[in-house]
Amino acid sequence: MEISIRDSGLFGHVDVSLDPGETFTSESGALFKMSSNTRLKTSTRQRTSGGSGILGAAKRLLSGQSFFLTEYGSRDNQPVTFSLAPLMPGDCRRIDLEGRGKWYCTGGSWIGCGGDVSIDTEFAGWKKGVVGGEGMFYLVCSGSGPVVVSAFGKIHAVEVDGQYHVDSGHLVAYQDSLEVEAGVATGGGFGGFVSSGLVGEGFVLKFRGRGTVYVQTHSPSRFGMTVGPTLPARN
Amino acid sequence: MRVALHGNPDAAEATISLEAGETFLAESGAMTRMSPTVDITPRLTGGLLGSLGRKLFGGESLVMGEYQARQAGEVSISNTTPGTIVHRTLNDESLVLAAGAFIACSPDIKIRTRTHGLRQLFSGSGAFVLECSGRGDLIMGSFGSVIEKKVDGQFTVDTGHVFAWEPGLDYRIRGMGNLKSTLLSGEGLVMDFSGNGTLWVQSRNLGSLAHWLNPFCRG
Repeated sequence: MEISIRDSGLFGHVDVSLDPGETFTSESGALFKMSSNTRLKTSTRQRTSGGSGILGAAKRLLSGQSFFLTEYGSRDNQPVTFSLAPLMPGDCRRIDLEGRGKWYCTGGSWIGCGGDVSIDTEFAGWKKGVVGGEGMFYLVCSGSGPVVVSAFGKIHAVEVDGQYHVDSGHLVAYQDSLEVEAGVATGGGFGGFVSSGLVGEGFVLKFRGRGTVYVQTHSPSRFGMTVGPTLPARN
Repeated sequence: MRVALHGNPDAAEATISLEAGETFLAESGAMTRMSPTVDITPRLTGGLLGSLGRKLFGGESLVMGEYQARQAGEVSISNTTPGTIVHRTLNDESLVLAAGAFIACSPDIKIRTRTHGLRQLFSGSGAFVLECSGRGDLIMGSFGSVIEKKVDGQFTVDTGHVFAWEPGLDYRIRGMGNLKSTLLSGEGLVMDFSGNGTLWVQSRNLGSLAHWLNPFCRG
């Protein structure tokens, strides 16, 4: 399996080459070109992880991902190549999992994974990220193999050693060696809660420990809130 | 306060390094990530009326965040739209910013809301502009890339593409068509600049993007 990230900048995309027998799973709708011998299978579950079908798909929907997954393979025992593109203009990044630990991806940032990576959706809970990007759910990747994530704008890798705060709309993914707690950026109590809303920061995710956090320069929901009011009302 | 820019021209982010005790102001929601040693407090700048005017007509936030470092730390900020970030150091000068261009400034910069007339109300690009003056750092963000233009004489820019200009430049707003079509459609207003000074123009227009998206919205 070969995965290359093309065109760093606002229009990153991903080329994937598979040998016969290998598979890769992505969110449905990400494919934009492929060799004609590529086999596509749409499903509500990831075959290799034997996830929980419809329930898993519904949970994925809650995390801001699509209901269906697409699995890519070869139709004729020849190598295949295909390319995936994220929805928002931005960087793509490859994360390699080595069998230990998990990665938490926010809704919409996960594009796909290969090898023996299995995906699951996890309720973040009020404590870990009420507003962790797209909602209360994270897509969790574990196992070993490559994972591809995307961002709105550029991706910065922050190596946390100690403490670090990230605005919830700007989180892409983080390593589970880090502890995370959702809080306000403006001090404690109800006063802090109100003033955090006033300065438009809503919630920040407070990371503690050692590990990597991927952060995106732009926030999809903030952009949406800017363009939204200029559009006609939905009935 | 030190400012480092990354990611220009398409998806810029500014990282501001603060020494202990240093502060700066940023528009609501601008922060992407920061050290835990920085506190944020809401501030109404330019008084309640000025803030309200900015919010309603200037396309800026009602309340700004004041970032103060308890100990040395870093704060990264970005604009709502993908584009370029411009950092200028004002030295007892002023700069006029179109609606939405302001992101952050050091505390000694004075921000005043200025109107430029009823006609601008219909332009879709805000009836108010911000005049920033004093000494310190000013951080602005565009939609698209930013083109710097030295004006000596006359120069015309679509109102939705004007980003910032030096106050030494005079301007007049007029419709590209006749007055009636301008008022009805809210499109096609231009600004005629004249005099001697620098003008910054942005290569994309959020109003036009929204206009294009309109027909695709389900009713």
